[in-house]
Amino acid sequence: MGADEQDTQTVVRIRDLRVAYTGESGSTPVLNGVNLDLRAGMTTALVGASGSGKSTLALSLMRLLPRDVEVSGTIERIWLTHQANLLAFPEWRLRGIRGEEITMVFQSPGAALDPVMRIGSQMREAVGACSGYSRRQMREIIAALLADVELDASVARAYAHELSGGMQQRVMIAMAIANNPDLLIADEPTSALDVTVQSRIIALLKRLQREYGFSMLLITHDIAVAAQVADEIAVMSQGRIVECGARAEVLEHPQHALTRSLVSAARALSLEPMDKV
Amino acid sequence: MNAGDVDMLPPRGRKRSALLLLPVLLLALVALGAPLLAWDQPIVCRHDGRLYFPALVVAGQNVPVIGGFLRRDVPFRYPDFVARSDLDATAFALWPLIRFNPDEYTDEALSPPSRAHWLGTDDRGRDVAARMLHGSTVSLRVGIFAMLLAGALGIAVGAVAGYFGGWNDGVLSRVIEATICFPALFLILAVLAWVGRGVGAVVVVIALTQWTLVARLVRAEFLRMRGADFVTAARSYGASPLWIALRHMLPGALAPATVTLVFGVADAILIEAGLSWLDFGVPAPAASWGGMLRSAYEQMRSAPHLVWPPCVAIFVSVLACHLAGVWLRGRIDPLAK
Amino acid sequence: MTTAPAKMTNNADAPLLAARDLRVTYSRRGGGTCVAVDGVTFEIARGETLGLVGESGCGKTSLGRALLGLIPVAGGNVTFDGQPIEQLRSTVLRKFRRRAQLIFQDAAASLNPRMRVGAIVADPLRVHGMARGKAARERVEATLAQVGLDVALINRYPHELSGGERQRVDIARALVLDPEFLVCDEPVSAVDACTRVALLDLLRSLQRAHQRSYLFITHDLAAASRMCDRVAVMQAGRIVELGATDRVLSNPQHPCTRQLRSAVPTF
Repeated sequence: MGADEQDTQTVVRIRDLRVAYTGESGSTPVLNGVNLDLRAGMTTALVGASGSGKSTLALSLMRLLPRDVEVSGTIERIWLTHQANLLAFPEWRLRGIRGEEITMVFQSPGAALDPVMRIGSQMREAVGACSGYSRRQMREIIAALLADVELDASVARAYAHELSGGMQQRVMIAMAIANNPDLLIADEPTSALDVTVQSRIIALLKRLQREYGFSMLLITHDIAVAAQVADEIAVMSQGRIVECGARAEVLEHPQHALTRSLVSAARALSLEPMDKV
Repeated sequence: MNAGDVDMLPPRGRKRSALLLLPVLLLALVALGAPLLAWDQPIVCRHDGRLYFPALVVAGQNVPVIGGFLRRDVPFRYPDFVARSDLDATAFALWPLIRFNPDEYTDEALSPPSRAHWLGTDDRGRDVAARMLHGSTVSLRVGIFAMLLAGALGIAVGAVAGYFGGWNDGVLSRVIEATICFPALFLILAVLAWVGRGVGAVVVVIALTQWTLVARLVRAEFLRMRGADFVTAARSYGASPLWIALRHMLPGALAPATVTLVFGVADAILIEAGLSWLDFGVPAPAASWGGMLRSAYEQMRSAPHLVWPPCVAIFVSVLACHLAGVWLRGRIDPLAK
Repeated sequence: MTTAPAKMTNNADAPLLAARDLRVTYSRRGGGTCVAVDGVTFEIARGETLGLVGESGCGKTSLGRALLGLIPVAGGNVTFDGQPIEQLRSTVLRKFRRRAQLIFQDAAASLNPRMRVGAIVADPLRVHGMARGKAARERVEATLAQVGLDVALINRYPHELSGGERQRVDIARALVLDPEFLVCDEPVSAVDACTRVALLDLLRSLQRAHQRSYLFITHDLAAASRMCDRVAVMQAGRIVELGATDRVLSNPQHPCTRQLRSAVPTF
């Protein structure tokens, strides 16, 4: 947990979140009572195998779940002066949250970007088409955002297919930070990328978090990725968080059997640092 | 959302209710059993100490393959029966609902609906209700055989074009386009001159105009699958092109093609009605909805009641085939809209 | 921490597979050609695993497929067991197809979605007329057991399996013909870390047990270090560094290798 408690304000507090998909064959529980606190300026890694409910948790935070689900519990959104349960929000009030205060980066940027729209136009929408900026101001904002994610300003004129996977993901990140969010959800942001690109994207997210101070929820199946950035690691299995704690604590003294197997697999797939060899 | 999480969800496709199949099943039953509903001979009767099944045999003759082995049972019509039953005490007969032969001319031409003729009679004095029921046999037979032929042609051409690509695809795609552009009326006249009029000619004409739909679909499926990893895998362990096309690619293309063909039956029924209306279709004495509509149109002033039965029959059967197509599409691809 | 299986390859033996100055080109839409593999030369000995490491787009997949004769070669040649594969015709080619197999990255795409597991694994046997009916079924069951799959999965469709199970089915299909040479094209990239370790161990034990030769394609040097005797690093269609796995990992020479090396997470 945070060393200096007064600085790490909780942004979102999830309590006893339960989600079940309802179908003809009865309801299938996906989340079975999840409790999680997300703090400003800190990264929480949500680690688990596919099918453990990680993505469902992310979609619940964005209130983007499909209609045929049963949801219970609370997702408390906490501002400096007040707080409210996101699950009780009407749809129109979510517009001020989604894409503004809570934003998301997806696994496959190629699918999340519009193939027939120039990057600049899509970013303009992310900044807010009716935000009252002049064309010139808008161009400057977009150039600044692209510079922030280490891309050239000329990328704004490109189409998604003209960019590499890593560049596409950088554009997605630029759009996610455009409105200075309080919480950024990164759902497997590097799983579709090469190892060399992966490490650069992770480093970028880390740097941006330092600069912008948002809270980050990093969803990944790879505990090695979590080990690189996370302050806290939550391990998820069958819709429950089975272990949650500070990074060093979880990695060095894993309690749950699943965590232990994840850690040993990651150890097996790592190499010693170059300078030690 | 990653694939694993999607796997966890129960199948979310809207499963099509089997109720959608009910209309087409009823239609098929009527088409197969039309003589049991409307015929001028009994379904079963005893006469001179012997059992006869005249209407049942007529119905049996509509069934492909079996039909060839059946001989007409003893002719035995309603007025004869009434006359004979006085003489023979053991005689009995189970009659169809409507005791008229759909093709038989009588003197009561253009009579309005009555207790005897439920939907009236046409200009030759034939019972309209009987003709309407028997028309379903013609329509469905034309629809199904035309689509089987179109399917065979379309799948063959589409598979060759899609599998080999390159110049094969170039040539066959031009053939498909030429067929689409070819004036349908010329094609119809050419085929009629070649095969002569009849159900067979109508089937051939419809197949020759409709096969391109299936061909284009199958071609697209094959082109899509040609680069798929599972095809590369089959190539890598030495499967021959024919093996890959038949065993690995055809099953994938068959499902969407079947859906198209079922929808195609509805189109074929409409085309058959159109051709018969133009008098290019099923020749005169046979009951066909298009032909009925034509004669009703000619008698519109004197007998307006004749227009409705064929219209309703065409509408209901096209709708039934469409609903069956919707059901099938839902079964094969549960996520389709 | 993980070291390559230290196994001496006998130089006196002729290599199982050799590529000489191999070139693969694709014609671009609208004219011009794009060179995917640009003059590559290497050999793979019997029982040896050669790692082919590089970023995506460097031509490693094209190279793997060209070795199996699945895509046309623009220049150079490939010899398998002393015979140039581009000249193989009909019966000899079929025999080669039996001896060399391919394992795919994404088993969700490489398994026919409309076939059951049993039919998928049995298909190579049927293509080569090697077993039918009961004999085929027994061989399929034995192969499934070999890759650590429950025989009860034989009647499932690929979409009913987990990612790791699908990958094992893909491996089983490649093994059912008992090949001598396998091209593994990123066989573990699409699965999570635990499954990845299990699959790598499986592939290695299968290789050891039958003295098979692998070309192991990956973008992950850590995976290569677990699997390979030697590693070739590929960049823009060329092999820029080739050497024993230990040497390449401990003392990378080329900048590209260093970059790949530093991208591997340390733990």
